[in-house]
Amino acid sequence: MQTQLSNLSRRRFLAGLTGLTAAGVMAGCGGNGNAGGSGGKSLTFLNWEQVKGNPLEQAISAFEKESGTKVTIQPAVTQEYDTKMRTLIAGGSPPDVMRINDDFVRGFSQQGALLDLKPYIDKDKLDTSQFAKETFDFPLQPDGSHTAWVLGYEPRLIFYNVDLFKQAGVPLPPTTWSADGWTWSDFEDKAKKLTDPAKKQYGALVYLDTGYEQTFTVNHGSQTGIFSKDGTQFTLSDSKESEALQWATDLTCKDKVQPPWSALQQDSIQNQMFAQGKIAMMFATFGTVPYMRQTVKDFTWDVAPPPGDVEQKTESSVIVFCVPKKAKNPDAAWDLLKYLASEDGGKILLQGGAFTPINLKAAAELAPNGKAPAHIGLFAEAAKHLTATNQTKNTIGARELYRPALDTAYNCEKPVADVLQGVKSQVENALKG
Amino acid sequence: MRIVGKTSQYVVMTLFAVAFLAPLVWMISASLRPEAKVLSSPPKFLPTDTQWSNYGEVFDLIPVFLWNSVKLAAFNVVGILIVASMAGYAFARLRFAGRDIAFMVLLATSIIPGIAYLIPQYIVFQHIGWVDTQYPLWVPKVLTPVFATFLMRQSFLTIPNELEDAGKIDGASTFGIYWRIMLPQTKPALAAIGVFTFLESWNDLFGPLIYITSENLQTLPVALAQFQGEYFTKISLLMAGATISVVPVIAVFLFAQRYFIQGITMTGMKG
Repeated sequence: MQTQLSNLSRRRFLAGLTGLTAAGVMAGCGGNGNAGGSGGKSLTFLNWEQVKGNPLEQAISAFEKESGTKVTIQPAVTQEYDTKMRTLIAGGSPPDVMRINDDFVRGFSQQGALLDLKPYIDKDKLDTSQFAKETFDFPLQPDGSHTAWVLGYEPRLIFYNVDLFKQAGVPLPPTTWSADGWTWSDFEDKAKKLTDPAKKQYGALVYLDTGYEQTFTVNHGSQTGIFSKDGTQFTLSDSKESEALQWATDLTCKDKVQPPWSALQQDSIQNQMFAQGKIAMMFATFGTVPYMRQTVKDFTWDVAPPPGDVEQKTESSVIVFCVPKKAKNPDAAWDLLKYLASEDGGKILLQGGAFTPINLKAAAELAPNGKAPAHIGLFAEAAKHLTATNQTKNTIGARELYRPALDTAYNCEKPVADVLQGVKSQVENALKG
Repeated sequence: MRIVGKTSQYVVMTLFAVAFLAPLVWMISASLRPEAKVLSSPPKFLPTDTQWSNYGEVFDLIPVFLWNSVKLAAFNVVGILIVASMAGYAFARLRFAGRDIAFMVLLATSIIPGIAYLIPQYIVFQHIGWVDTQYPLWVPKVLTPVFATFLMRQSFLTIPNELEDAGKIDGASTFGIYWRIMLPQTKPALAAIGVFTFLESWNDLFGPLIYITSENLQTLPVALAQFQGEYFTKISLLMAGATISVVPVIAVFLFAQRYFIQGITMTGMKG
């Protein structure tokens, strides 16, 4: 039996196998090891988004020049970041500074995985009045420890298409933080006038993420929003809160001025719809600004505060980093965090136009600089109107229960109150951690 | 009557072909559109304002990642084919104490989900200095190819004993019989395993993400995932990257197509 393979002797085969092993060794030798052990001061840094080409990279470079510390940025992506973070912490050699989901801060703090930065704050006699108070206090734990560090915050505002307002002859929303002519009913009226079914153009988009749940419930008179202050109760299912969510849902189910829930299931679809001029007003985070700046070319857009009801506040995601307790270079890590929250660091971060730096002096310089949105300063103004987001031991677990359940309400099949009451006990069980 | 039957058969098959091709066509179309016009309702398949610059942007970013993916896919495919074919031959043809129990144990290991041993495995790799190297992305896979071993065993079982006996009469060693007589009979199974292994390695996002911390060692799926941010995704660039990444997969499948289909239909005929 002759085959091509049969020409290969055992010796040649084994030689080939040895070659493969050697090549494999070569491939694996590409490892760079962990930075941070040799020579002068150094530290490792992990973010869940690309740092390269962003102001964060510039701010880190400026810190390197000022401090003489070498910062090694490790690549990571948003997908599976939480798994990576948990693995690195459990593995015992995490990076010195790492981004952390704000929902995890309480849980990780209670497990003792995060370094308390309070001794550093006290030792350096840091003037904390230079920071936006609500967000600076976010990582404060019940025992007084300060287990994470907020670099900035991304408030949510109403993004609106100026051209669509003008075409429909509808007065523009306010340019200051005011509810004058900008209440929930004003918003609803404008949304109706801006909706054009023939063009598949919707007047508004509000119900999208947990930021809307917190903002609209608090603005409707809720004292707590989604969770109680101690993080043990699911207050979103209470009557005021359910009413707020029902109002947002009715924009679709009754008024037909908001895209149906089924049309919003694709990743980034809401941004695409806004950029295509299919949505006139959208409640979205500051983090959306860079995308809109890059993508929207053929109309003018701007931002306005959320419409007012009992209150006129907004929820803000926070950009949180932490120093794991097992970090090899905690002192250098603290120096970097302190720099990034300083006026100098904040001014660099501000250039990205994606979040408001926590440093108030840096945030005050938030200006359009010839780019949309013209009233970008409202993102800095938002610092005075933030809702406090209550932390729990298991926010992610709670969300995994109640958010899918809300689909039934958003698809106009059941009232919001019924859906939330139905999952309340399960959610509160999950909140026990 | 026969013509009607044949025509309807072709119509149904054409509809299936269009349904299967639609996502691929949409991906290519999206990769050539301006970002603001990627998602539309109803979906559009032909770009009106072709943006070749999307590919330019992606090509600037991915060469290192592409090379790492190619290298790892090659190590995984070659390594698994060697190890699985030897193990499969041993389980199918060699007689030794505890063979069947060992095979059952081997199959049982695949029941444990990877996420369950992720952290212990990470700690082990850290202790032996493998974190931030490419070893974790191919050595464990090559040394424990459960599915491939199963497939190869089934394939070896379908070969008549007479071939092996003839080799023995002619004085061939055990390795000689495996290498010169038996292995060439299993080309379809080898092709199927090769394609599956290539796909698994090529699309692996999780492994590189967990074990690699240096950018110059990262792979293509990680590069593509970087187009996805917390609040928005650059879909046009993501689709351009995905189009580039899918070309080697199609090439490998076309190359091994004939054997691949035989491989997955023939193995398992004899248990």
